[in-house]
Amino acid sequence: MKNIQYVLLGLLLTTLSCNDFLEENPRSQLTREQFYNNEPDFRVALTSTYRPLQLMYNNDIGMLTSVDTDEATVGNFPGGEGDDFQDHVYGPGSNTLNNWWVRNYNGINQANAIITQADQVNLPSDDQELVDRYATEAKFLRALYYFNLVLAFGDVPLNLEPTTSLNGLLLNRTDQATVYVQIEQDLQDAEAALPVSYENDEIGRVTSGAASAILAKVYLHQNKFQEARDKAQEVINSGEYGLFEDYLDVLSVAAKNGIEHIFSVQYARGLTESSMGRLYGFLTRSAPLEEEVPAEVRGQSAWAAEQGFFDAFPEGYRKEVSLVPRVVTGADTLPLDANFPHTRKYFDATKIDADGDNNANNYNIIRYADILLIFAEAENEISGPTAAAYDAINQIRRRAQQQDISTPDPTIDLAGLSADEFRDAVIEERRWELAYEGHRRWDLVRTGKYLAAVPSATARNVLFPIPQREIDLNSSLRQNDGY
Amino acid sequence: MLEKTITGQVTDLSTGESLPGVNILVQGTATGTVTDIEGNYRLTVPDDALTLVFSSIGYTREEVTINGRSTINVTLAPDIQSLSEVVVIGYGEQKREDLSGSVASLSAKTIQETPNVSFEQALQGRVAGVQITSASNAPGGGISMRIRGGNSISASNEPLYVVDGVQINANNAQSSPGTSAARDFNSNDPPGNALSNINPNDIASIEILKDASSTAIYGSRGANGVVIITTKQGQAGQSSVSYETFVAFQEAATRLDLLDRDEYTQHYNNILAGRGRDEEIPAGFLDQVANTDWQDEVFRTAIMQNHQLGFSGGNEKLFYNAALNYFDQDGVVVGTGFERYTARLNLDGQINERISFGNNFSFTHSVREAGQVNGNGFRGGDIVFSALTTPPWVPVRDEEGFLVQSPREWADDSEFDLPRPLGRNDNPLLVAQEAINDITTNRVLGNIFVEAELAKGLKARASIGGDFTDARRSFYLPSTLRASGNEGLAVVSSVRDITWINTNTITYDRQINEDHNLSVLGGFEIQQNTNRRQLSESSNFFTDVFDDNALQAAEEFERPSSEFNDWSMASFFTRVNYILRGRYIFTATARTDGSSRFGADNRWGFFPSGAVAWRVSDEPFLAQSSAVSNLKVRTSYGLTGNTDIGAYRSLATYSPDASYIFGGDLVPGVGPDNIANPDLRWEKTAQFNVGLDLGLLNDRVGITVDYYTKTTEDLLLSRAIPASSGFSTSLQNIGSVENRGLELSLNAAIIRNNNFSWVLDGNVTFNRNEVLDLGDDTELTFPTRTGRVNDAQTVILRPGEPIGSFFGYVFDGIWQSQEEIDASEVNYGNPRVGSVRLADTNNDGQLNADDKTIIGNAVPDFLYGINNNFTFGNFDLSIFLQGSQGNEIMNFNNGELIYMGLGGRENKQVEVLNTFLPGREGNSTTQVPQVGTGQNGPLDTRFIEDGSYLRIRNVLIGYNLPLQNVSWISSLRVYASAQNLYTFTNYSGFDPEVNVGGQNNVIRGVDFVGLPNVRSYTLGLNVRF
Repeated sequence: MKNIQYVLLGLLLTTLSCNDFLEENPRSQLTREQFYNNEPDFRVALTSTYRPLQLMYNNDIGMLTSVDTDEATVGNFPGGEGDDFQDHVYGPGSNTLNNWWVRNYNGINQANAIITQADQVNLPSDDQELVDRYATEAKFLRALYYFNLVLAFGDVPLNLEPTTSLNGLLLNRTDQATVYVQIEQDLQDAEAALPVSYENDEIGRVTSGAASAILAKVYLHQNKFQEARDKAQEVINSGEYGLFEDYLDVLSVAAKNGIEHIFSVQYARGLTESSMGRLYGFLTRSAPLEEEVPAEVRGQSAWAAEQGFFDAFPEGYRKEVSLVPRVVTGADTLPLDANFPHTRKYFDATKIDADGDNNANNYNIIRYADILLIFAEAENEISGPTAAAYDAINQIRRRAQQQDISTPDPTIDLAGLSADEFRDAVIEERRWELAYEGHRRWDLVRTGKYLAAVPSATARNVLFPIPQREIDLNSSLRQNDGY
Repeated sequence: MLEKTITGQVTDLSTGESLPGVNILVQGTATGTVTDIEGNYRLTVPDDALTLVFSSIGYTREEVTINGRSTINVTLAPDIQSLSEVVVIGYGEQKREDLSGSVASLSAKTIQETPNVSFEQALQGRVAGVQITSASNAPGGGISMRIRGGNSISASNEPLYVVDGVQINANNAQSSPGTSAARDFNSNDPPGNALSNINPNDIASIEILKDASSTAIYGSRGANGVVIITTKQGQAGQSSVSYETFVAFQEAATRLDLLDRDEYTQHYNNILAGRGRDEEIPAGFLDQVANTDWQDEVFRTAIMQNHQLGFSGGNEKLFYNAALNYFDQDGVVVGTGFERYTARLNLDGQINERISFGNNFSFTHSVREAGQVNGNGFRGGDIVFSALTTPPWVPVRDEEGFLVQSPREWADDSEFDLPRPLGRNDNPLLVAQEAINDITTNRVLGNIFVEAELAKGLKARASIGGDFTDARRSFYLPSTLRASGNEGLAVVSSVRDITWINTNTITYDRQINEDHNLSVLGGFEIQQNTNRRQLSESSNFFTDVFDDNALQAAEEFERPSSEFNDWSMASFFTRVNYILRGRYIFTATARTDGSSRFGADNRWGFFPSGAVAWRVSDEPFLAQSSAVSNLKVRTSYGLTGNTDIGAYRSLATYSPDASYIFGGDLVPGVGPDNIANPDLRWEKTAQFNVGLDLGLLNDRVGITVDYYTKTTEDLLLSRAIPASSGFSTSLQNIGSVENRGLELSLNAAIIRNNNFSWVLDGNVTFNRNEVLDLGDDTELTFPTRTGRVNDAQTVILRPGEPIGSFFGYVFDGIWQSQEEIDASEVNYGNPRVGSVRLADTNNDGQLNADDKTIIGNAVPDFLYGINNNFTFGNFDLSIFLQGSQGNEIMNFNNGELIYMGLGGRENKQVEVLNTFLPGREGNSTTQVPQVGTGQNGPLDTRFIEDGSYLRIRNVLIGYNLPLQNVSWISSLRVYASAQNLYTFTNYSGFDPEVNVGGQNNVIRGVDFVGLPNVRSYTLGLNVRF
């Protein structure tokens, strides 16, 4: 009897020590308890929260804002979803739209985690200061991600808590207006607390000016013209930003993060590169520039410029920088059949005969020219075309022709327009100035001009469909009309 | 005197040799004797004795009526049903006739009939229920085995391999060092075969456990079946030295039909016409340059050789089996090969009457030259891909005799005005010569055990075993190759994988009077595995002289990486086997496993099984029958589990994988991987099996039939969750899969007489695999490598369909004319004449992603193997056929070589001459869109092909020299054989057995720059002294 007791005790002890033996201790990954504890943790968490930007502004943005509108069309390598967006036959099954949803929400979840954890942690004051700044950067990112979602889908689920369990995942769509309130709040917190600029090794982070600039845009999209005008004025007056003299610098690799760039998605040669160049028609490794045929550059084109867009684009320096009439690859004996216009904006001139298909260009989320145009538009809505409004738009027009921006030039400048004409002129100017930079569709939709400008679109296309995957998984979501 | 004496000799029916050690009994009595070394016997029997029974292990029993004779010579036939044979089962052994589960056995002889680098190739087609596919036909290439179909989607479907009691790591990816992570290098090196580091010549037998009753004793590792490997042990009192060798000449068995020089001219002119150009290359223009058959250049006749030296001997106190082996296989594709050295020592000893001990130990050193194949370095660096796509008019060597480096540059520099080949291709021979991709592996596998007899019938055994693998990859692409961006790319990576296992068992065997036989086993086992890997990579070297030996000499450095993973498991198990009256068999097993991989709430799982078997042929009404000499019915049911899900999945973890750029530099980021799931638990497989073993005509014919159903529930799936959570998936236990099947095997001695015998051995397997449920998801899609096909989501799991279903569009013809386009009512976008039309399968008037549908699957309707074995005198001939029927293959090579990328510079298959061209006859039926358009597209039915095949797998002629008169050689055998002599198939690619998905669960039947099947001719010699 006693023996059996010993045996059972032995087994029990074995089982207990077994449980220790069976504990998991990952060493190449961090567990929840090991993370968000000190300043380096928050720093790397924030870096990871920036990452979705690189993924979204590498491909998807072009499909959503350029191919979908009158700027770009499918080029020489159709297939994938380019055709679906060009012809507006995309449905809730679209991969691109699913990516847009997934990536933005991924960024939001990470931002939520940083913001809530930064509140709960207690660190020495130097570290705490840094961590609080990280949390503010995260707020900007969260606002930007929600802005992306609202523009694309309309009402979207609003979630401000990080996801730590499988409960409570079925969120309703929150009214746009409510989401905008949160976006504005986050941007206001950001502009109040973020630095105005950074040292060299931090370039690419969100600045206070970036928050203000996006806030101006957010106001404009809600038709809050007074706030938009004032906010744009703030950015203009801050003295931090200005226009490049040479329009080429807007997207050139050499002039990255320059005076006109307020906030850009960072890419770098040999590290994380952007596919925009390749998609829009340029494989720059194909040949040395010496062999370049004038106005024709070798490429492989997924997306080309719409012929109508090319034809309507006002002649001048800006057009030369932005577009080329034709792209060829290979020897002349077998040119790739790409005898139609393409955008030249994402051409990386510093990369000649180098390896790989992708380029080092950044993607401009917002730049100073945009602010000037926001100002002009908002000012016009409030007070009609004032001198300040004309001045803003004319700076853009002069720079486009490579003229000095502060010298009036009657051949270039706008004058004597009615408020309605001015409004249309600003939208047109945005079309040329900000072409292929991810704005066209949103501008058309917010001004009600989308269906007129894009013939193959129908009423439902004013909003994108919520990805079918989300509808299937979350019964609380209602699909947008018409899909 | 009521007795008489009978004498005689017993010989082997087929060889005529005398048989020592044969038991002779007077039937119904205990009177008997044993034959001596010459096979002679002398027995005194009572006068009224009627029948003598002759029996010996490995031979069928013979009952002979005395009929007044005083000299009775008997011949015994080899027992092909091996009923009295002892079969290794989990943690023990059992006689085949006492088995209640479904277990198949293979002998060393069968394994060695198929000379190859590892033993699984020998299994293909030999055992019902087992399917083997290869990830790569390169030497040492990865293998995937399925026993009774795949159960799981996220966890491994490979069976558990046990070598001499040590449960080893057979996960190819786990023991393979990493490859290049550089952004521009398409790395697809399928991991090599972890089992290629086990020497097949050391194997004495392989047992395959298939049903729950036999596998449940392995609990959470038994769900996919168990392969038990027993290495050759010595035998007390018999010493011998043996030498076995073979050499084989291998060649690539298939070629693709590519354009030759004249056809290329035609194709190129088609392209120019398709682009509306007037010019043409005149016929014969390309005669001025080379006419290279690139396939001939990269496929070579390659030699495989094996040398094994074995020593065994000893006495009752200590006996051993030791072996040394050298194996070298050159690949039929240049730049590939495998070389291996193995040493083994198996010892058994007896310390005293009660205590015995032993060890099995092997050390293997191997070097696998993986080469640049299987899509590795695809688009440029892949040898086979370059050979298939480089035009035939590019020469191998230039005028000075040096290998042409870049076909594009050669064409540009040429005096002739030539089309420009793909810029990214390298000369494949240059790649083979200069690229390095070698994996050196050292593996130690062994165990030590002690066994003690505590009391009569009560034994205890303790063993400790380990499996240690240390592998290192040396990878270098020199700057002469476009594949390295003309910069030089070096990778050094390693993996160290250590598993140790301690097993302790107690067994009790007791025969309680005549009727009851009881055997009880109880055991406790713990295992632990640690896996460490690291990788360093740099590029842009100023010189190629260092290869991968000076990473610091480069200009650019990739971020180095290292990783640690571990898991542990503790288990208790028991088995009770009760045989009533020698013919009613009852077996029950139970095992409980605790694993570190599961959530804290679900660590322990319980896996029971039960089986009943009835040896009907021992019943009085059948015992005397020789027509039905064996009849056993058996049935079993049990639960097994699957724990192979990768470590740490139940925890919320954060990994350093998401970086960003600040200040122009790459800055590391750490992001959340998943949501914690403390509820994560085992996948459970419930298997029901019913089987019949039938022996007819005195066991001359044996038939085994098994019917089974296996349902796996609580499948670990990455369940889709709303992405508004910030995550797309969460690993949960949802979903279930079912496999149902029928296995038939037949074993018949069709002809059996003095000098000639013919034994037929065949098996057929039917398995139906069906996904039952995927939780809330209606379906899941998975990406595959696709090349030009521009939609990667080509594999789908959908309830009601099998695992491995292909998902794509349906091809609906080529647009013939603008009128046809205009007349169409469906919105196809903006197609051009001569482009591909896909079907609007859901008839909604739009062509979009909703029109994708299931267009095929990789699951065979049935698998089969047939072996015919003839012996005549000392010669033997065996012919083994193996096949698979009804499986389909997604052939992405069609995208590279026929339907896409039609811009003109690459070489293609001849089908491309059938292109659509305005005004051409045959336009309406062609599947090739107009060349010159360079159009890529999604997956459609043109890429799905029938992969059914019948292969003459092995033809072998052997001769055993008659050596009765030579005392110093105990046996000498010579043989010649051919493997994969011919394949009957309609598949247009290299090999219908290919699957580049390797051990992946859902990617089955995919061909993407796969390698041809290897045909080989072997000569071999086995001699024993």
